[in-house]
Amino acid sequence: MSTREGADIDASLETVSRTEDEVRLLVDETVYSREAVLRACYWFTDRCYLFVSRPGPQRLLVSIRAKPGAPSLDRVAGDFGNALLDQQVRQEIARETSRIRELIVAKAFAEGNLMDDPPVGDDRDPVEVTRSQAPGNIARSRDEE
Amino acid sequence: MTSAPHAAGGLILTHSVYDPGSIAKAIEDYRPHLSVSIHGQSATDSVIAFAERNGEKAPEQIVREFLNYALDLSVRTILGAA
Repeated sequence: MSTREGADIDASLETVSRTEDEVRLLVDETVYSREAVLRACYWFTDRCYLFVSRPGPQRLLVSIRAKPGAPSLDRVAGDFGNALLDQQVRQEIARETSRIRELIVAKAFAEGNLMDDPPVGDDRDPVEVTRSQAPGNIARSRDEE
Repeated sequence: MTSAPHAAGGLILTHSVYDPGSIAKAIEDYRPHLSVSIHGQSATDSVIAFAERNGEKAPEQIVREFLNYALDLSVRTILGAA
């Protein structure tokens, strides 16, 4: 997070104004997605009052006011910045690992015979497949016969 | 009142954050406590206004609670549909 003075350091999340009871954060949507902003907001509506507007393309302005009895406004705003980063990272990891998660779920369902239709593609563990095709294994299976 | 963007006495809610259906539901759910009307609607924004009751402005805390509620409903709708 940066302030006006440090805007050149990190302009992706910038405090554009700070009054006694309100902090306004300008979020760069090319860095933090709208989904990450929405998720962070969702987690913070229990401890502060939020209002989100769009001052321009690729920009979201988040106005934060602390609720009565809530932690200090600076702390809430700082936590919000952390939550925003957390949500963005989660989103990127989810995108990067979506294929492997799909395979794991497909394999789990296939092994449990819970699916009517077999999963698309080969859901077998490639290590197990290689091992079963090794010459020693073939010889052993012939001996067993 | 919040320092949110106003348009001719109204409050602009961008649809990329506030889902129109959720705004309507929030208005309906808050009807016993707050009188909110939609002044205008475009493809991208809704403009809402808080009506006075008995000549008094809408209580600030209830307005903020309403906006939080509208945001909550909108996030559930937008992300639920994503």
